[in-house]
Amino acid sequence: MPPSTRLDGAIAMTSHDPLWLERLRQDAKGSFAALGWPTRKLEEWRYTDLGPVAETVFEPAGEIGASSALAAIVADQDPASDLAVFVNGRFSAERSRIGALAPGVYLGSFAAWSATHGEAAEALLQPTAERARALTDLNIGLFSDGLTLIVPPGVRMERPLRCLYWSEAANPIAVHSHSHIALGERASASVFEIWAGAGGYWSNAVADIVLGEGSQLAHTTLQNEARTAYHTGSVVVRLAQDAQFDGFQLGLGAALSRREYRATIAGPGADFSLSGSTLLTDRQDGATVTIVDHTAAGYTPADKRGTTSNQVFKVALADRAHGVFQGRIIVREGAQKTDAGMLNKTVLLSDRAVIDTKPELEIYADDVKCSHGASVGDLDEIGLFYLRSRGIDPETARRMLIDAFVTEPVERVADPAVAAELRAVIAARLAEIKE
Amino acid sequence: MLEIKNLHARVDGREILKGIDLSVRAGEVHAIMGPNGSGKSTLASVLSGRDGYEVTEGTVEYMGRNLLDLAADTRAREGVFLAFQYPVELPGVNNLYFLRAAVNAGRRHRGEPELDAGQFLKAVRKTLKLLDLREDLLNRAVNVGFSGGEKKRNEIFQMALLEPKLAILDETDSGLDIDALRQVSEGVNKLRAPDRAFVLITHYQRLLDYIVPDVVHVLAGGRIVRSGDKSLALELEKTGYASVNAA
Repeated sequence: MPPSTRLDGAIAMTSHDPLWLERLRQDAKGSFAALGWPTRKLEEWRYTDLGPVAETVFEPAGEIGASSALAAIVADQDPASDLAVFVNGRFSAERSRIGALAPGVYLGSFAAWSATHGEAAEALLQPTAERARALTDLNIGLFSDGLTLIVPPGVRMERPLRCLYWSEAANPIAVHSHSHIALGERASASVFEIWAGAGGYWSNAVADIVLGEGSQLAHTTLQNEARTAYHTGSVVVRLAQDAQFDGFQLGLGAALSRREYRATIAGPGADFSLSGSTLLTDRQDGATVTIVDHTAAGYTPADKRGTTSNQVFKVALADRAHGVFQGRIIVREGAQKTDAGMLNKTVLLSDRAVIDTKPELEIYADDVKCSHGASVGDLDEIGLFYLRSRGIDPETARRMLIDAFVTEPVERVADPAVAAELRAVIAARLAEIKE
Repeated sequence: MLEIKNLHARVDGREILKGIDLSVRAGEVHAIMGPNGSGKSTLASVLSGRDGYEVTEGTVEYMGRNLLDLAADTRAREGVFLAFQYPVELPGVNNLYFLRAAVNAGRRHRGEPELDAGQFLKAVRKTLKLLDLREDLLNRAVNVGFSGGEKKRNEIFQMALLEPKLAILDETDSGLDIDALRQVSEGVNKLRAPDRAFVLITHYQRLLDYIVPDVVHVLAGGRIVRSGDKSLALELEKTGYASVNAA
């Protein structure tokens, strides 16, 4: 089926758009129609087959009625955090809980924000070389809402923010959410995204993150969609001088999931750190793709520091799960003093689990420090023996080491409430997994 | 407590132990000394049940049972403890959590009630005092980021908590400076008891200045070539292992 035909149903939903947005949407849909669905011929999609998504006929996302699962997860959220809830891609004010904000801070619906800040939103949604193509085009063509968080210069957000992206439908729906986080100079914020839902849906998310000079963003994602769902996500981060992105992703997958991070490090002293754990089972298929671009602007003769990035991803696969880690670090010509590292470690908990891992370096500067590596294997034999030598039975020893393997990167999550929650989610998922 | 008779063992098809005889009674401390490659660590591995070591001949009796029939974890629950020459780092495994799992595995095995978090912490604090260990090591991942001395002290700390009947210390003195060696030795000395036996495996005599053994054995070429009292260790210190190899 040509992709354009399925877009018709969504047009009615977005007919209140201002003219500039309508034009952008038309262009984006046109671009998607021309590009078509990403296929495995594209390097970034080499190990993920989007066929199941392309072959599904999705209905446009609508409202949902009372949902006890959603009510439970909302009630579960840390009361000390602000909470922004999105249901089927739309901001749900009545389920959200946002306290008093510092002057100049915007926290809420992207749709509401773009209605009053047309120029800024229009600028943001323009195509750029940094963003992903087809699925982002589709997202811009069809998105209904998402998060906007704008923190003005010098403001440090007092409370952490949680964003719950909940999707739920009986018949398959497509949920396109578009979010925007912008931190001004020396601003700071902590955001914890939770992706979850029930039933059959495709969540196709795009987040644009712009970090001003010296700003700091802690950005943690728990991707734990329904096992019958599809999830594609693209996080685009731009870092100015001395900006810090401190990211973490726990990927518990969907039926099919793929999340990508595209970082452009564009000022001296900027640091992009991203780590994560992935735990998949059954026939889950889950990919993490990172593209970290150390640009020439990251090094100036006046400021000789260069830019840094660090990535550690652990993947544990049980049963017939398929995992993917594709990481690419690009060091542009002139991006001297770049210090970049990337590591992927995978344990296969079953003979039938498969990992495709491909860490890559592309270096065009000569005065840099870069490393990358990947390892795939079973659990550490000597570690198992050490546990057994203390009286712990082999089954428990294995469980302890799997839990430790997946949980260890969580140490990098600075917010103790978030870290504790991630550990609990991992333990609960591990308890379900049969080896 | 431990009766080893004519023990032969292979690693990767190569025979390393070539007929070991050793008898250790409760309350005794035996030192096993010998040059590199003599089979000291292989003996420790075979006794603790590590995979990859094939016993081809001989018997090992522990508390009247055939030790070689027992899986590594069963041996530990039955009271055999190995202090590793190279303690293993377990990233992501919390030290306290690990220790409690180990202690409770032993308690279940003996039909004793498990310790809850509070009771366990009490036992830990008592043991910390005994060994003069820093409490902050407990909340870290097992051995990760520990100095060489801290790793060895953590081994002794585990031993103190698990209260084994037979403790095998594999080169616990290696890599320790003199202060750490003294601390580790004091810890071991405090744990000496009439119902507990120790086998100290060491290359150097200096450990035996602090932990005075009842019997000293010299292992060379996969066999015990000499046994004697503590003066044998001093003699070796003077003459070196060359003389025993020749013997």
